Amino acid sequence: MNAILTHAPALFVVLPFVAAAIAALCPRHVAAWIAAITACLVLALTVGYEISTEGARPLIYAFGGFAPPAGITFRIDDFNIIPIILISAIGAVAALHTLGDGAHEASGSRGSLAPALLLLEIGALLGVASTGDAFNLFVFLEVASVSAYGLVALGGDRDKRGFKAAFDYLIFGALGASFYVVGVGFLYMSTGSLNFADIAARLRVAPAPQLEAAAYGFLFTGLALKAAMFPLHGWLPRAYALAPSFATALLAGASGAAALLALARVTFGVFGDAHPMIVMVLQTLAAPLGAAAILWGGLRAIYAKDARLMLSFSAVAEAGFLFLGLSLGTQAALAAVLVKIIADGLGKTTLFVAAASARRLTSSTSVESWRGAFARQPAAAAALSIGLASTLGAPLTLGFVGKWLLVDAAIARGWIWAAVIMVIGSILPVIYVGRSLERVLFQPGPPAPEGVKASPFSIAPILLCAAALVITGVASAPLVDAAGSAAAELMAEGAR
Amino acid sequence: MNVDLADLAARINNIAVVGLMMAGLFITFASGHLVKRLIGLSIFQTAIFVFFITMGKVTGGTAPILLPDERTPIYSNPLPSVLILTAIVVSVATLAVGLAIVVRIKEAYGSAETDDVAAADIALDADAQT
Amino acid sequence: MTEARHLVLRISVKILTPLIVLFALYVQTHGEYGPGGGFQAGVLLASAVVAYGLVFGPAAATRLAPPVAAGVLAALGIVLYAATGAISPFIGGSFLDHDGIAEALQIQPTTGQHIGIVLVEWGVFFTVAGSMIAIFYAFMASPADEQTEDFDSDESEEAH
Repeated sequence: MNAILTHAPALFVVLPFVAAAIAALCPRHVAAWIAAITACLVLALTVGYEISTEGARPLIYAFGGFAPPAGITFRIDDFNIIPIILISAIGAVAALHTLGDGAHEASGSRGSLAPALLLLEIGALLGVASTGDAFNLFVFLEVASVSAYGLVALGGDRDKRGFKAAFDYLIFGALGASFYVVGVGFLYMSTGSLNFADIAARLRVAPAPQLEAAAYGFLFTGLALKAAMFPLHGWLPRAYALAPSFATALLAGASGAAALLALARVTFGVFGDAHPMIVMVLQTLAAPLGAAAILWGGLRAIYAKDARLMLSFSAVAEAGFLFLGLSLGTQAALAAVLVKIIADGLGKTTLFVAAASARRLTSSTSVESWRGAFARQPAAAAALSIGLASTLGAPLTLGFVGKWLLVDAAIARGWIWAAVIMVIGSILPVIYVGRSLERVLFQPGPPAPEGVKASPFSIAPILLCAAALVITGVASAPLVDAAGSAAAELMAEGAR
Repeated sequence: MNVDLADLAARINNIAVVGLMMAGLFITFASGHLVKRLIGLSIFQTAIFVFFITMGKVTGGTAPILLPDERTPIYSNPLPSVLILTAIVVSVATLAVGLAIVVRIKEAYGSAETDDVAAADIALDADAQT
Repeated sequence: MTEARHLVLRISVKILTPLIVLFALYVQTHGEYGPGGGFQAGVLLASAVVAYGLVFGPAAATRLAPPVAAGVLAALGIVLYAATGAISPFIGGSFLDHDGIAEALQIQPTTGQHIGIVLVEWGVFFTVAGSMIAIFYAFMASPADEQTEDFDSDESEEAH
């Protein structure tokens, strides 16, 4: 048991990859079971690893026994263990959903590809979160992206616009990765190293301001494309709205979060926030564009009639919150961003899975189809309502804690305008979330068709997610403390 | 204007890379055909490969191979080339997925022209709204 | 009539295909010390199938290398790679540390590294060959090929 946990960092990436290769060859229902079991195992591994290494982090896992900086390493510290657990939890929810109400969305000859791609995506996102090597991060980003293009394109079987959405996603995703890799090139030119910790150490000894500035510019642009920062978000709404629901649950919950965490690591862990280029990029690019995303995403979500499009634009607005939070550049803001990432990840996954379950009973995707959902299927509707409440930032949910901490950090930093934008951005969802909640809870709707029932494989995991949102929202102290110490550790890593 | 020509000549690779990158980016966004847009993306990525490989070149350096008489010659840095080997694999995978999606777009829409696909999408969006 | 056309092409591909396969195996088996290795060899092997498929048509190519086999080959490669890497953690080393193989077999560490690299390269070879062939089939079998050159359309008519 102990030996397994020692090798957990390698296992939770390798296991999904191997399982994906096997699942792709199996019949559809076997593949879905393989995906679900593997994703649950990975979740168990990450949680077990967190518990067994409590207090012993940061831990470095050197692949092939080659010590850093020469070898490729995974670095698990207090900062990335939280997102690692989040990603594996979202992965488990999405994989279980392919057994439940998502099963009918990928059928026919390509049926077993969906679970395989899902597993590849989970493994790659965990790799993005845990790797300590700049180029390795690029490879994992691309494995995650290529599987994501495949997952989105699976939606084209039901609605041909899915193919075009996948194509646009591919163009933007590939450009983002290319920009990132140019940045890695400049980093390598200036330091001769690819290991994040080693690069940070070498930059302290021999700074190369011009190359650093060029490197950060490219790294920021590339990762901002992957994390869908306004106005580089153009690919996101249609890709998320047209992909199969299990794919959207994973992508909306975990993929943007992984890119944003990589950006936080590069910004605060490698360069440190003292470099003038970074201050410039954060204050004159990330801050105003984040603010614009909050307003634009919120407004577009109000006008979206399709439920999934509405949630996708809400994801754009939430990315805006995260970028505005990052641009504050303080430790409190970084901790708030971490809490907000967890709230968004759990919330979006719950919402997309619940929306898929609700849709099975009405076969429509518009918000109107949520009418009477509570009467038809109380469990799914409860999860849907809690997810919506967290998106809204209603008190007693984690969404509220995240937004509260962000506004608090903005005021502490003296950026009153940012706090005002965040408050406005929290009022906009009142319109679209309120409208949706009214449909779900109070309006009468048609009865459920005979013989169609929501599957427990979809409902049970999202009820757990919803419960987690409420529990961490009510008793937020442990999570907020953990996020605070995680942010402190990352800031200390990059301090000059 | 005081341009140091020798300095410029020493950085000719970077100028070529930037030129190729811009050409690739332009084709990616301005082309009217989806396959051409993927070709533009490939040019963009290839420019980055050139950037990495020229970065590792040492003047007068050879391949990093141990000679029979245990002599160590001046050799170019092999690491960027190795990284680019991986990046090429990644870009081939992306290109294959992209072309596969274009094939499916062609089947579904009957055209792979950007304008035709966009027009069909707008019509479908309008249908979905009503 | 297709027999009569492209006679040079047919004959030369017939001669070249076995040679390409042989060369692929040469590049593979000399890859751990010389230039070459699993990736290059896998692409070479796949290129033999591609050349054969382009000239003799999809039916002939799938007889030579069934699509299912391509998928199995690709998956087998990944499993072989991961299994090789997973030997070492049982001895106490980290993932992919081939010194573990030497310890398990009670041989020189360098020999252990050698065995590990050779096995990993075979894994890469299988996966690359399998996926390249699978990619080729994915485009070849597509019904959207109406507008291809007449050289190709002859072959697909023959196949149907």
